[in-house]
Amino acid sequence: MSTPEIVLLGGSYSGKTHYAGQLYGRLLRNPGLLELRDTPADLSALEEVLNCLENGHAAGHTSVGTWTEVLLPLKDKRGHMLDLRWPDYGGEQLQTVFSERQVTENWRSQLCQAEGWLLLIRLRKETTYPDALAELANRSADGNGTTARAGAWDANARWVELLQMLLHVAGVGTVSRREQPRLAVLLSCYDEVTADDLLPTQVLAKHLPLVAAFIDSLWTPDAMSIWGLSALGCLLEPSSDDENFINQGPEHQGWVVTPDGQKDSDLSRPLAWLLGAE
Amino acid sequence: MSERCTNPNCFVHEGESCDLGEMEHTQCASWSATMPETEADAEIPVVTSARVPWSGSALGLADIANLSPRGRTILIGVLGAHDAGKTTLLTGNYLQLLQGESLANARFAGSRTLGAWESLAAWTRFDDAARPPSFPPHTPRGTGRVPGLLHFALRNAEGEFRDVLLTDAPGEWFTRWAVKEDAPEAEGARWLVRNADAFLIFADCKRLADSNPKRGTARNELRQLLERLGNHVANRPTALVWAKDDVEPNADIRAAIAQGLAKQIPHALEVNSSTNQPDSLTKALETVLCPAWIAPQACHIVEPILHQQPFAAFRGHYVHA
Repeated sequence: MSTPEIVLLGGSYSGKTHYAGQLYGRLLRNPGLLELRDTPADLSALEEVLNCLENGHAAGHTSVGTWTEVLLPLKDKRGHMLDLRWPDYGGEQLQTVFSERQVTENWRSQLCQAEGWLLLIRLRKETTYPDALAELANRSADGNGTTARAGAWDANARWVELLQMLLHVAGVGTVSRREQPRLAVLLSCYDEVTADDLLPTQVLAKHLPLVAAFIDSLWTPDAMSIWGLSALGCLLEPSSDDENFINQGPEHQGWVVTPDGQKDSDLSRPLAWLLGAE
Repeated sequence: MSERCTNPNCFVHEGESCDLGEMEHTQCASWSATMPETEADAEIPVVTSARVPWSGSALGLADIANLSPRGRTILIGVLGAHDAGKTTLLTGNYLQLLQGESLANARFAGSRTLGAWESLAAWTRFDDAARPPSFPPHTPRGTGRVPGLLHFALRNAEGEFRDVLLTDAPGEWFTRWAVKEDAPEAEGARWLVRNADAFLIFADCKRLADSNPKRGTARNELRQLLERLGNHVANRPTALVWAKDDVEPNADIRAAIAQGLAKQIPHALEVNSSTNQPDSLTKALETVLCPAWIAPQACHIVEPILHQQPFAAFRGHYVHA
């Protein structure tokens, strides 16, 4: 029996709770590479999201101070047993790490122990300024030198700074390429993204080029992978009542896009990759 | 936090991590030295949290000490008169990296000064009709001993990692230094010239153009700077950047400067840059970054001949062993 540790990193509205709920449904009722050995002893952390999904609507926002865990007793295809603690928390906590430039002891010890980091990025929620260079070229002749600039950071810079801070407090150096911790980037709500025929890696490079370059430079190719994730398969609102969810069950909804571009309904695949069970 | 640590290189009072690596800075001997004995006994419940040793702003001397042990750093001195386009070149390079472009055949691998980069880049961004995008404003003239340093790390295809430091110094430093080498206001310029691995010198095409009646002054300032730098540059990679290239400088002036450059710094390259062509900004930086990537090899030590007698020349048989 092994007890691997992972950390789940995702901001507000990046879909952590929905992924957890859907992952649980899959592991229990429609297993792929990983399946549950028993029903977890305590399901209270997932209670709300499971209820909502069964009725075809979206779960509410996880409150700021929340920090809960569900212990998932898992078994992979080779019969290896593993106990995974799946965390759920309010995404603002990650925002606080960035704005206050400090990482609480609780987070730090998780980061240090974790063998794998699971990063959830919802591309549509990320603000970038891709046309800034063109703007620089087409500037008006009159210098507007006195208007103060507050301005939010470009999402590229914000993610890189956040990753750098987390790597630093976890004691992970960046001078040589990393093999540990393994990094899986899940581009969540992938149904919102017009991916055309691009692989998830290319989609990340298109939307967040600096983050893609940073991840490429820091991890060895074997130690990182980039996935598309649509935990629900479509957009659910808190008020919607999607027939497919109600009739077929949420465990048959949602999909991932593997790093090589294949669509797969097994939502546990990124996790299996992270745990080396693939 | 009002007090600061007795260690001058520690910026824990500004929200950075303890310089000596204590998780809780109150446990550090350097910090305790600031506290009166009686207070040390009082049990203050503290919530431990981990911090990082950089703030995101431009780096100073203490920060270099923190950064340089991890690998080769390349310090690029960006020299030029006031408003010659130094900051614009830096911003343009950051914006190119932000688009995922590679620089000197290497890709972005982190930065300790993202806050400073972002505040420069914010000037070029359009997020409000009341604030049209413009160039970053003038770098304030400080009397600091060291210019603010902007940083990014790069890694090339072979896996080689470099910390690149770029100076964002006010133009007045160099104008002053060119005139009077030991001027007190030019301390920062002297530091830079002593320590830089490579140089970019800016020629402002707009100021050298026919339309500017003071082009003679501009030419004089630039030539003085080249002549001054020529005494110090040795064999370090150097490039003269014809900035704002969309304006044509006066042909005679351009020829005179090129001639001066060839005389003072024969190995220097010339490169054009213009914001109309964003990749010309990265090309300008690459002109010096590429040759500085590999550290110059150490020279053989040649022992000087002090006396001509055979006895003095004998250095023991082990010399040839």
